[in-house]
Amino acid sequence: MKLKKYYPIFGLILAVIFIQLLVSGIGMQFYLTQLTMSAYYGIVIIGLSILMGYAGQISIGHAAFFAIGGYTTAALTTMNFAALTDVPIVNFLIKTGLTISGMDPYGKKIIYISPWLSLFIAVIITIFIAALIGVPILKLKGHYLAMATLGFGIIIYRIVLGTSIFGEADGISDVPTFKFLFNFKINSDPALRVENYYIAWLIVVISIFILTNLINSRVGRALRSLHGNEEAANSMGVNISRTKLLVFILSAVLASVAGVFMTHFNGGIGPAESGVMRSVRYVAIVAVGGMANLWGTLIMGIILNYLSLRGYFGSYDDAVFGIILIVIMLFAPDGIFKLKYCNNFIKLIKKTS
Amino acid sequence: MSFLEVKHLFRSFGGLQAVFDVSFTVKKGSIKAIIGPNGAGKTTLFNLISGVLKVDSGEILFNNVHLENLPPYKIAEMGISRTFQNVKLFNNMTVRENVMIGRHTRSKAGFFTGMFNLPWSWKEEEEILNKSEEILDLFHLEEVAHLYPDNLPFGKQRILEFARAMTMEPEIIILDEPAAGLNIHETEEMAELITKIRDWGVTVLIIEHDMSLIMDISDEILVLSYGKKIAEGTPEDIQKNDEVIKIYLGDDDA
Repeated sequence: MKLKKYYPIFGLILAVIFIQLLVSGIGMQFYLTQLTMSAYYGIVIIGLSILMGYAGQISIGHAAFFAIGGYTTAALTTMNFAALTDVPIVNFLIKTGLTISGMDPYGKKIIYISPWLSLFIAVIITIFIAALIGVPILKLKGHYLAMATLGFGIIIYRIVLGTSIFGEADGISDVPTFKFLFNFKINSDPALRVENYYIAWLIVVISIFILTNLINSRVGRALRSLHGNEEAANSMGVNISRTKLLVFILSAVLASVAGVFMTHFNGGIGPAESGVMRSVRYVAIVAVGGMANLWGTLIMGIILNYLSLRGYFGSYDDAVFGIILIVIMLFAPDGIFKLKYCNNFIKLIKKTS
Repeated sequence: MSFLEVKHLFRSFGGLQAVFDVSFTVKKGSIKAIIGPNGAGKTTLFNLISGVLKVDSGEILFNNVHLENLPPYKIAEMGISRTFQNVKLFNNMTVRENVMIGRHTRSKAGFFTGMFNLPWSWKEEEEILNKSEEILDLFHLEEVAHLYPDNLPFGKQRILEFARAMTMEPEIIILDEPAAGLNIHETEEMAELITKIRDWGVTVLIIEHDMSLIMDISDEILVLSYGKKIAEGTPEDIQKNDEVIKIYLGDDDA
């Protein structure tokens, strides 16, 4: 009984392994690159599903949190501290093993912060920023909250675009390898595609495990209740502002962590990742997947991001997601998995089995 | 020492005095009804007690603790739960989950415990489930426990809201027109439930327009008109009170 809620996760693990074997079997290993990237975007999307679908708080600024994670790690790990070894903090980091030293292509010595440390710093910064903007804006509702988060997204986009340490319009490239557990490496080396694919999906599995637990817990019921009726939730003892803030931060941290790993996987990050259209895309995918439906949003997130990354939408990429959002809002406001024919289909399967 | 004591409570909306110098006390384990014509300030009074509205001045004491201007969730934590005049249920959750929310103040598991499903929360979760099943049983909701509230008939929705408030095991339950919109049978069922929970020692504060229900179940009645207290006493006293009769039936000279 207790394990029942984890069955879909076992199913996901099997599907991940099956797809890898299939893709490798037919010799199309390069598909794994896009599947890895889709997995990282999937983390942002399930995080947003918790915030939008379960807690009922919209955010059209989630690309900003993705960018905060990505840019923090990119900026920190591409900084060379070799000339600064006398500075106490740098010295301390070197001694505690939180830096990595190597050679650049010209044979000069470089010392940079370990990606584990930059991941940690990125998470801290994200929590700080999410709390800072979350406290005032989560008092807003509906359209006003949407506009405030949109504004936040634009601010981050403009900051990234105008700051030299973030590479302005070029973004940051040459982000080093993230040495994951057991010496597995996160980078864009084509020879490590399988390894990277599994690392990405491991993080998805962990995220979905955490979120599955959360929505079935006491706090999960509380955040669904505040979506249902804030006044009633409050008078049942749910601390509305605290619960909203915590779920906002959780959602932001998931986006940020995805940004960190994606940046190391791609070896760089550009300002497009923090753009408003990215945020709109996340919202569109969450809407297609059915808002309060972790698995629906994850599946749609993987499929649509995969198609987009493979270039099936061509240069109409953003337009496609805009159209998807409009069509879904008009014809299937509960997501495509809740359409009438879908229900009938499910009924049919139940009858035959 | 009184159980619940309201002293000189004031609240206005713009120029309208919704609650004007209202004082009363509620005895532990009794049913206190608040009646009065539409716009008398009854719901405002309930909203002040449950923290939905802030008071202009005056005191609300519960076991000698000040309640005025505390946020609603704090008041819920102290053991005061309520229902709403226009039923407010969580339509995105099943009937069972609606009732489970009632245990929120009686359980502790936090964000991290929830995220990692830590073992020490399992027992608590089981306790929440058991208590909810017990309440669903008592309120005859077990058959619809897997449905969503907006699929229930209105009478059942009112009972569900009542059940949700009772799952908290409150010391005081505030019922805002629990029989409004119910048919005769449903009203009877509701009256039965209210007297039943009073017998468990839960104090009941009730607003209701159904006079026969009020006269049947309440121990004490408070009458409000235009925000002011007009009368207070047992149902017999109130029935004989001239001023109350004037408010409800109109003046002889009119």
